[in-house]
Amino acid sequence: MKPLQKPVITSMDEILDLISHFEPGAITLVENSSSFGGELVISTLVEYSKKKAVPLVVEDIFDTLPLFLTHLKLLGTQIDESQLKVIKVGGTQEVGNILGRISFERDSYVYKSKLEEELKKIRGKGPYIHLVVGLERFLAFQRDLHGTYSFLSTIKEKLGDDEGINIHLVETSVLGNLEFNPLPILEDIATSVVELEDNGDLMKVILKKSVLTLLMNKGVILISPKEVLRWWV
Amino acid sequence: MEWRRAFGIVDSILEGETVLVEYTTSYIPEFLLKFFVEYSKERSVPLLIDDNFDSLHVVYTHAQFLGIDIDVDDVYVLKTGGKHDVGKVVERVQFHPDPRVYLKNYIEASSKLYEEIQRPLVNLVLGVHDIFLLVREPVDVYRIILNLQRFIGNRKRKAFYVINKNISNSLPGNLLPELERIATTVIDLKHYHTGAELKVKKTVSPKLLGLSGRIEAGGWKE
Repeated sequence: MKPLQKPVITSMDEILDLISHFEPGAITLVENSSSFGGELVISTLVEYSKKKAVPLVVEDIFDTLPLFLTHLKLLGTQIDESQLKVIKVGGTQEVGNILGRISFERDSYVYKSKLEEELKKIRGKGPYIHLVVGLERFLAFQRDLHGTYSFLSTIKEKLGDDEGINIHLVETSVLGNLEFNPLPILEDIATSVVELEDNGDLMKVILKKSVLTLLMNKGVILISPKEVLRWWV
Repeated sequence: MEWRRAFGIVDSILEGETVLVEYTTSYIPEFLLKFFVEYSKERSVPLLIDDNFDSLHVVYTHAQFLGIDIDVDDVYVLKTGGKHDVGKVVERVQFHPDPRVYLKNYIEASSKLYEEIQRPLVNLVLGVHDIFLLVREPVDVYRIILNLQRFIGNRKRKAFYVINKNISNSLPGNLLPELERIATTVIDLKHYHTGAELKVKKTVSPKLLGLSGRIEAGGWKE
């Protein structure tokens, strides 16, 4: 991979090029502490899914996805909702193409088997992106360390899968307020960890642990949502 | 220094030592696995990995994504919990939330192994924090720590516990300071773009006293 030519990414194609390095069986953890990091992730993944014909499955825990979509509308970004295959976990606001619905389940093993049942509808046809949003809301409902631990174990199980390109988007500040902060363990399990931070009107992507660092010899990437997505113009 | 030259550090660890290797979020565990496998080959010293709850599978799979080629065929593995076997799994330990039961199982399995291998070995311990997460009472944390303490001075081994500092600090109890106290050598690894900064924080080995330096990961893809 060639090193980035410019200090700031200003086109969608450059972002899609970065996403193409996410492989099936790998787990990418996106830790967001920026204002609209989730919104940026959703809009770029939808583009990627469309252009590369890779299905995008969103595991939407407690209405996190509709929140992102509402924000995007107000920012002026049109999302092709038909591109989103959504598995609802709890919550009531339905957006995108609903693939299935799971009632909220505290027991992670029951949760996992229900989820796998829904994923069957998409599996067996090649790679797909599996984006999980609202994980912090689910973890906030765990009663003890043990519940959190078994949930983390089910995430570990996704490692090495030959179809799912796994991306977990979490809100750092919400996780940090939990009694037991699972972030360090999640980071250990993840194949790649990136942090999103505001940097004026730019998005700072910190490659905390990433193949991209080794490939590009770079620790930080800057993205201009103004130019890529026409936000705030 | 080039990473193979760090083999000298393992040579200088005394037999019977318990070494803590500390890191924070990075690919340090993946490079350490590669490092110890290569060390074992080059020095013809058997490598035994304590694989707690598929931690070896996690590290090995990440290494594959990074394009780091690791040959685990000759690595002895003592496996506690988990489902994914990597390396030569020679003994399995049944985990139990009551550490008295778990430790009994562990001691039985490991003494069988030491009988079998018969030579001084390097013991790499991965995923130790999972054990501390799964026990319920503060007294249980100490039962496990005391057991680790009992292994110190066992001249059949040089043990290296790979510990993520942020995880240890997120766990209830005073885990990291206790582990640092019982360890005979504490090595801190701080990563940067192309390698890690090494610092020996504590040691019983005269050759390692005050040692610090940079280890470059260059050439890791060969």
